Amino acid sequence: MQDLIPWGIWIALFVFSYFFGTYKEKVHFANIVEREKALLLLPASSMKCPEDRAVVKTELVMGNVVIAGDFFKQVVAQLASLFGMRISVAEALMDRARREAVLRMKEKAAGADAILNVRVESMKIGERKKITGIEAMACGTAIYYAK
Amino acid sequence: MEITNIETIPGKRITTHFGLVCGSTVRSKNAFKDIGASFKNIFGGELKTYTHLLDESRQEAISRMIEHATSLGANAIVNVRFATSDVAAGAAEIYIYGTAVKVE
Repeated sequence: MQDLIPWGIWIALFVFSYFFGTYKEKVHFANIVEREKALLLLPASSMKCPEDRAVVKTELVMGNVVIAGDFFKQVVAQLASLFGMRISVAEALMDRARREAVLRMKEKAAGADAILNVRVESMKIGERKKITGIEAMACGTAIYYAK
Repeated sequence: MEITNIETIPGKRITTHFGLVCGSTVRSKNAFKDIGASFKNIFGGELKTYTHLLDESRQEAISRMIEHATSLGANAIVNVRFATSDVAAGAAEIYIYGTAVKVE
């Protein structure tokens, strides 16, 4: 009986983090889609050439975000790495982080006409094999054309 | 000071190149704030303390780069790039570099 208690906690954590993590992810994705729609008029491209128009101002803009993976995701990732499978939970995590970073960058460039040369970088946060979180950073040059 | 990550400052002409300028900062995590992060690590979500920490470090690195460029007499920096590296357990270096130029 004594031995079962840690396992009980482990299973409870596993199940609870699955539901909680999935719920949070769903809410976050809905939020991202909504904000992406609102910022559709500000194109962020990876091109370097501005349009052939008079330029008023240029500015370096960036946005970053650190997103933590949950307990369920870590267990699934460890299990999947035994068999060399596709880790879809990690894909969702990276996608969330990158899109959020690009959105924050766009929000900082409010009033600009375009963002040129957007670069997205990501970095693992955590010591050695442990993954505390994923950092995504987007930066680009916001350009304001003469009206 | 105008900073871009493309090769030119659109709408302006570059008159002088001063070469590479850089700024860097090494930051470590805060063990006390890490307690909160380890809870978040179970249930997922954004780690706001880390987001702020990294954002602040980048701003500091940029301001150091600007200082360097100003001391050379430049008024703009083009082709800025960001790099990060792990220097020790729990610490990261943020390195930002670009080309200092004079525009008119």
